[in-house]
Amino acid sequence: MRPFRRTGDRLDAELEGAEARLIVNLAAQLITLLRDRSGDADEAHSVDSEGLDVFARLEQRGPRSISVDPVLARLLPDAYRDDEQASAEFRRLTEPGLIDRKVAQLRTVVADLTSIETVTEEDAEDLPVDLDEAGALSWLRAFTDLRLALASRLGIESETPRGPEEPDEDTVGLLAVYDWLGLVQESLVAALQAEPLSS
Amino acid sequence: MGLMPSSASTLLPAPGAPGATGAAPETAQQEATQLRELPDHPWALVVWDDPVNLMSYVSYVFRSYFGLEQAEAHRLMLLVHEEGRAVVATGSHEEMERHVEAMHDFGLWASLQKVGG
Repeated sequence: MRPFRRTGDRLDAELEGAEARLIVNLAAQLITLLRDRSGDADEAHSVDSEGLDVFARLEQRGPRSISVDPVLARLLPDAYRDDEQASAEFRRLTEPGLIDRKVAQLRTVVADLTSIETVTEEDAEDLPVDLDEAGALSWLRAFTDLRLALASRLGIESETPRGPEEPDEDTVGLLAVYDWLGLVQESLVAALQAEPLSS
Repeated sequence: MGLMPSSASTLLPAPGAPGATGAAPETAQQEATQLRELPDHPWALVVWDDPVNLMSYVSYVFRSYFGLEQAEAHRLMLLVHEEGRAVVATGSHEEMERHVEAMHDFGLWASLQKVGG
């Protein structure tokens, strides 16, 4: 991976094929989880997910209470901390839209990476990612949601210690993925602010 | 964003869980009262610290969404990080609900509460 940098109004980076596939895989899983929450499971089968089924480790279906799944509870938090009824009403009005936007952002990342992979020669080691500011904002938000979801699954509740004391092999791998997503995101935030914001 | 495990653990009960609000309302009220006159700004947007979001990202969100100067965005981000939460805006109920929804779009952990209690 070459981190993001700004050239004019474009943000560009390079990802290895395996890195791009990893992001696509995680994004597809999170789309499935969010779509399942909103009762639209069609998306679940539109992208093949392979490897670790990270976000399916906990029960996805079942009661619609947001407290059932920590990933969903963090991505779709209560708006009122001291008023359950107001939170429920706010959720009823805003959650479908929130989910739609989160799914759209993840789809943007998947589409960007899929189209890059299609037009790049098969034996190319690095995939060029080239985003405008709107695209970069989608990536930023999608990466945030992916990291929040991974952190929930890994039980990251503070900077240290992170996750279980004696992590298994999968957990070690996911922690590395989590850290790596943070590096990519950090470089994108820095690149975006390399020049004055346009708005 | 947490580099302070001891405080982070007390700030992370699930939203709505007992103890999740703790001493927040009165502190938030004080902060909000300092920010604006009360009657026109009865509601406060509170952003809570979490161990995941990058400090640079939170600062970027405050800057780009609220149109804050870099120094002010950075100050508010540090306040969230160090105090565990911060009142980032005050105003009407509808306005604060819009802000909460926007913060959730960004993946920040935000809630709204009445300034006057």
